[in-house]
Amino acid sequence: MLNSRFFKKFAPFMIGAFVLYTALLIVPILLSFAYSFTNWDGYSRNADFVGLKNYMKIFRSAPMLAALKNSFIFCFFNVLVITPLAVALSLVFNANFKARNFVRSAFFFTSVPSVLIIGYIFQLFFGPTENGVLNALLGKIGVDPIRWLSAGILPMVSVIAANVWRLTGWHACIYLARLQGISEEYYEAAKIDGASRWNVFRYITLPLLAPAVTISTMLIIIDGLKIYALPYSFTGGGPGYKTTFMTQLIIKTGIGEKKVGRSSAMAVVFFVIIMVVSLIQLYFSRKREDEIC
Amino acid sequence: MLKKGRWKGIVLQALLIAVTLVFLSPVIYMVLNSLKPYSQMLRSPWALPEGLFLDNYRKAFHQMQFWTSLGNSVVITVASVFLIVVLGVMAAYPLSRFKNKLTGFLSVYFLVGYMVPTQVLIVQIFSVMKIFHLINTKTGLVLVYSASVSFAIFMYQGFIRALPIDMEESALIDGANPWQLFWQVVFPLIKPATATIIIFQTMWIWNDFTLSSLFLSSRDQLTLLLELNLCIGEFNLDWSVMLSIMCIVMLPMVIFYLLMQKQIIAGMTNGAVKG
Repeated sequence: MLNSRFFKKFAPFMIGAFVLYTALLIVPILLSFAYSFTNWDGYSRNADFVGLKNYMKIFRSAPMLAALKNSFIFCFFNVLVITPLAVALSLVFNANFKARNFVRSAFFFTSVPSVLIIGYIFQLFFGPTENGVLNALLGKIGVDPIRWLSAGILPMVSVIAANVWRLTGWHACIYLARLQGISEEYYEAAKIDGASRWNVFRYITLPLLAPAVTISTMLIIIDGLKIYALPYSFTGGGPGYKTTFMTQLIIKTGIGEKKVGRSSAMAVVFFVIIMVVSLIQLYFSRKREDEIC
Repeated sequence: MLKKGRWKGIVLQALLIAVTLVFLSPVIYMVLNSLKPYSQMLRSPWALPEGLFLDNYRKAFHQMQFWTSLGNSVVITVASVFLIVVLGVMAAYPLSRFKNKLTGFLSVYFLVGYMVPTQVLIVQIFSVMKIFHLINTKTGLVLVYSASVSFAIFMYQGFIRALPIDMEESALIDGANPWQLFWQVVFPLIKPATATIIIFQTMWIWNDFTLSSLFLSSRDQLTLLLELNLCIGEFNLDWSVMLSIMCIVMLPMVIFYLLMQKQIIAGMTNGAVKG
């Protein structure tokens, strides 16, 4: 630490970030708490205080419950599918072979285009008629066209598939970074002891990857809670509310339907969820640090 | 793993490349069909284009306001990333070099923005921006992006703490100008952090649709992505033309990725992945 007598000279350095951050992040957070107790429509000069009415309403509204459930399912299955795929892929990335750089770049590439574009392309892939790319391929082996974006749970499955496609390469790189930090000595020792390849993976690689699992899982969850452009361009949130997620509902309620009060109450619920997730993350990373020490 | 048995290695690699190509098929599909007439795209989507067919691109450039929207995207991204770097590094320095009540409080204060995504605050940010008449202006959007400065602050804090403090201390005791000391001595030493922040913020801001779509509306303000969304929503175009618009919109980021690939992977080990 520098001598505190110099602090006065450096304190002004923080003003810019503080002002901008306060005006466009902290004030809006406080506003969403304030609005959530009113029936403001976003335009009129007056708004009435309605107490907890917005909160009571949203927990009984079908769209909100659907969006909550969808966001939860979406995050859960993304973690469940991406994690093993990304771990396996990172082992491939880490192996020594000629086409390695090509394979790495190709799998990472899917996180380069905007999710908006990815949504539009997957809309073509999952098109419901026999002209949909997947249906056309399935048609060649005699399968009737599948209504990917409307039948049963298929719309949700499709959105999850698109997101898995987008994120697996990125998360494999997170694991790769971790793998490259594992000391060779562990593997040499295991070799001397005559451990099988599976046992090396199970008892050396996997435990050492654990911190990366926490980071990757949290990133998938936070990203999943925020998802907006993907369902926007892919399914439009439909059919009905089948693929409507929290962010989309908050924006739709607040801007489309002009129910700022209700939308703010939803945002507050969203903050609480994010806080809980972050605290769980903190708990796990602390606990692991204790175990290591 | 693949060293054992040459043939086994070759077969495995061929298999891996096949899997990779299947994985990339949506992108391949997009590029391939942007180069075909729509009728051929319907008939044989996976065939190579018959000769050089650039009509879709001609139509795409005709529909899009390409140069305007490209300019907007560049201006918005560069200005936002610049502000994030400058404001972030300046705030991070006192936070990591002084320990008192104020810095303790501010460290936690900036943590909030790390967790709460701007996307869910759009309605409320709108209210604030209306006061300052910033709706539907590039300046407004730039300020909204730059407000998410938390990630940069934390990244810089980690890097500054790792620097030895002696040189700064003796320079200050000798009466050095804090401003010059900071920009000429400290800032150059944390270049890797700056590189990582620039890369990841650029990718995020350039690709953002959620915020830009709600804060920009008039045609001359639109970014490339918004222009794409407008073309797909408003004009009745063939899918093959739309695919070529998507390719055009995607190209700058692809170039950026190809140029920055090494730094991106390096950045992921720097802890950038937390962003």
